[in-house]
Amino acid sequence: MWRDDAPTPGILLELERVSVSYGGIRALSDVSLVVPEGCVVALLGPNGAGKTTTLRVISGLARADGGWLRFGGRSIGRLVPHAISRLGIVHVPEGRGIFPSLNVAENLSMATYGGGTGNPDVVVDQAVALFPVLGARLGQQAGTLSGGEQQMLALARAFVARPRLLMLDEISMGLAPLVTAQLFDAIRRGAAAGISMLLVEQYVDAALELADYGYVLEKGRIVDMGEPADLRTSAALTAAYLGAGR
Amino acid sequence: MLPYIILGLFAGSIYALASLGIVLTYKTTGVFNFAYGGVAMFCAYVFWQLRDQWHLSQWLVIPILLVVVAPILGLILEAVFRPLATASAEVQIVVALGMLAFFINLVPIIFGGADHQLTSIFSQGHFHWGKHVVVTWNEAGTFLLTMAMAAGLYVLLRRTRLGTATRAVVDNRDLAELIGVNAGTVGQAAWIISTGFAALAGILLSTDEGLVTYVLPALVIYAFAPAVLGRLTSLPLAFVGAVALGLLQNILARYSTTGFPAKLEGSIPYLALFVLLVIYGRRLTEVRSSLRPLTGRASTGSPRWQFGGGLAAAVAAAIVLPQVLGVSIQHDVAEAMAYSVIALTLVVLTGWTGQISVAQMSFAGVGAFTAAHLAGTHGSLFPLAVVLGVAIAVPLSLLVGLPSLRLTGLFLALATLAFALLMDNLVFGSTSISGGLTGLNITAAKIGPLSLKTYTAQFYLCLFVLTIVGAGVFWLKRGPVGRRLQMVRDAPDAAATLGASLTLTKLAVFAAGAAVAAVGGSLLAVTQQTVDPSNFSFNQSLELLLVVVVGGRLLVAGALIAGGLYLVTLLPLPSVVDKYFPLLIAINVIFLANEPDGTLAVAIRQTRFCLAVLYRRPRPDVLLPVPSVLPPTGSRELSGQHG
Repeated sequence: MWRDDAPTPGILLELERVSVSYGGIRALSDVSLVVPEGCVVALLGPNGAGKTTTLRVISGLARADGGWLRFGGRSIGRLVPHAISRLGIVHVPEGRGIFPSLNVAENLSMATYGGGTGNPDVVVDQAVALFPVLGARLGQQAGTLSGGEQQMLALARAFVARPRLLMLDEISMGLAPLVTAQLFDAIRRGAAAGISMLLVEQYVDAALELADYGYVLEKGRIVDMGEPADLRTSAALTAAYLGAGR
Repeated sequence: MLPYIILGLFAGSIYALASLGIVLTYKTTGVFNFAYGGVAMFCAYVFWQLRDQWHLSQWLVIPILLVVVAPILGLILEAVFRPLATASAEVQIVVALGMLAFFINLVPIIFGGADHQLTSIFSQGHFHWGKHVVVTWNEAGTFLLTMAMAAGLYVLLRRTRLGTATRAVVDNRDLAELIGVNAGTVGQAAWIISTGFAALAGILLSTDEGLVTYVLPALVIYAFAPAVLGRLTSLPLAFVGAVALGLLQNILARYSTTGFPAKLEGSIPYLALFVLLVIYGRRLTEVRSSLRPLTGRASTGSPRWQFGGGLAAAVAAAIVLPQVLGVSIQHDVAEAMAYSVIALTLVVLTGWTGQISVAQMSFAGVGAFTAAHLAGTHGSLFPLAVVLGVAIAVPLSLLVGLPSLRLTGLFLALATLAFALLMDNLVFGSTSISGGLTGLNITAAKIGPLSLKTYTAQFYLCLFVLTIVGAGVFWLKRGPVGRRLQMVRDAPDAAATLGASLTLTKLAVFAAGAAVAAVGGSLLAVTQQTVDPSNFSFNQSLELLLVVVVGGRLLVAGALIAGGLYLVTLLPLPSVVDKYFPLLIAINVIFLANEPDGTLAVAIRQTRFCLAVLYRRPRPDVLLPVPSVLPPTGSRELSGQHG
């Protein structure tokens, strides 16, 4: 039933027993998860659990060597990244998801490259409305922004691209708490506006507060899943982070 | 002075066009296009064919070139290099050099080998600027056209969607793809534009310098130095550097019209390339850093067995071959064995350390000319000449190696290329050293009482040296040096953590390679009897590299196959073989550069595979892999809510 392209109602993204290997080393084994339409799903787990790989395989940067990936009912396992992006999946990768030698306005205008639609000027205005601090820096090379501003730029570009699914990978990494709070605020507003999201986040509490549902990854496998309230008390989650009892 | 400045701006603007084209593809795709000169030459010949042979209007021909021919060539190049995007730098360089040889050898086949004079695409006259300065329309037109092209490229990159996408891909390829930019399309556009620039540069250069098969690619190499000035990534610096280079050359021309300084004028771009590489040193890093190391199958198998087998084959050859072969073929085989000796140095250098040298024949030339000078008249001085040749080649190799071995693959290849072209221009091009076009004779060489006049004596000498060197290479591979070299090749970063000792090892190998190449060169001199500078040119070094790649650059046997391929060109075969043989080698290299074990190994593997399929005896290595999606196991209840 997974091979046919009939969309499952209400389900935006589904991974069915996806496996990924890097040069003979298993990074993901039989990972199955779903992101329902309009929901925020958090991926939790310690370093090396396979969270980033999960996002990379969805956006096509990594190849699955087993299993099926479907987005909006369409199989995406064999598509190249730019084709997947054009379906409406926007992936803000780990680190700074910006182009350092392009200026801020050009970085934002890249959001219009996906579907080939959208007016660069409108996009820039929308982004500045989201993060006013960017407005003063439109002509500046993005590489000269502070870490927090770079991440705001990456997030703003992701939002103005009008994603059907937004995937954020450790967006708060290495940032001051105040900046992180601003970013989370923007994410919260995006979620309230109905954007479906798949979040990878180091702050488990913050992620669970935002999320409608969570999956816990450990050593490339899903070891627990559930509503945020259940996961907060999950033994598997604690064990995954502390390495105890398993 | 002003006339020289105008000439300098004219020449510099053509170099600028070529430099921009080279930097553009390197920036966007990570491929350094060694074949640029070949492409430029090919396009210039197409222009000649269409305009001067078929008498089409040049205002029709130039658009055809830019809109039809260059894009097609660009897309072909892109298609060749795209699968190599994640291959090691070594493979990319070898393929690019193979492409260069492909175009150099393709042009004579399609257009005939003759040289031609091309009239300028601009009108013939000239105008006066001020009272004393005469500017030809060709100079003015060329300058304006190239400036317009450069400005067009600037606008394209800065002001258009494609330009923004291109710069985004240069910044971060993965991220650009994630945003929906098709990096492949951007790469294709870059190749098309770059090839268009090559076509124009080729036409403009050949209207100035004449359409000459071997000269044009070397002229385009002038543009490498400005490209390196911009560290292969800065278009403005490449542009400024190219114009400065043209000015420098022509201002120097004012003070020298004859002798060594005049020769230096033509060598300045190569000298500049070398000096820039040395100055930048480690600050030059390649665009792509995460490249897959290349591993062959040659490391498996028993060296001891191979060693014994090789020695047995040498003894057998010594006894049997002179009996079976005719005298003249025996002589050709001797020459091929001398060639194999030089090829062995590339097996160690390129095969084992992944360093590309396109200067091995230059080192061989040092040995050959030393032998010719000393032993040409006094045959008994031949052993001394061999020693002296080595004594000259080793310091020369240190001169190249000391500053440039700190460089990584591509930049080392460029340094050896600059060195080879400098040797061609300054040393082998000098009549007092090389004896001019006719070369030098060496007919009466002797080792002690043994005269090397007879073909049989030459045969045994070459066989003896080849056996010794081959055995030495085997010994090297089995020892600690060999393991270190393997490490440099397989994991350069891990090897780098071991520090300076590796640089010393690499340097020692480079110097030893030069020494052995010099010995091989003196053997070539004895067997060829006339030492001709064109046998030791950059083009010959390039050909040597290509036949070693075809033979198998990881294997000692690969050097023997390289000698065998060289032998093919010596034998009195039908002219059709001579005509197509180098082209076939180049094509072979382009398709098999990823196979360090060479063509023969691939052929053997495929034959085995076919046999296995035919006889239905599946071997372990042709079994299908275990399916990666296994039936659900105990963890099923945890594997998702649909599990």
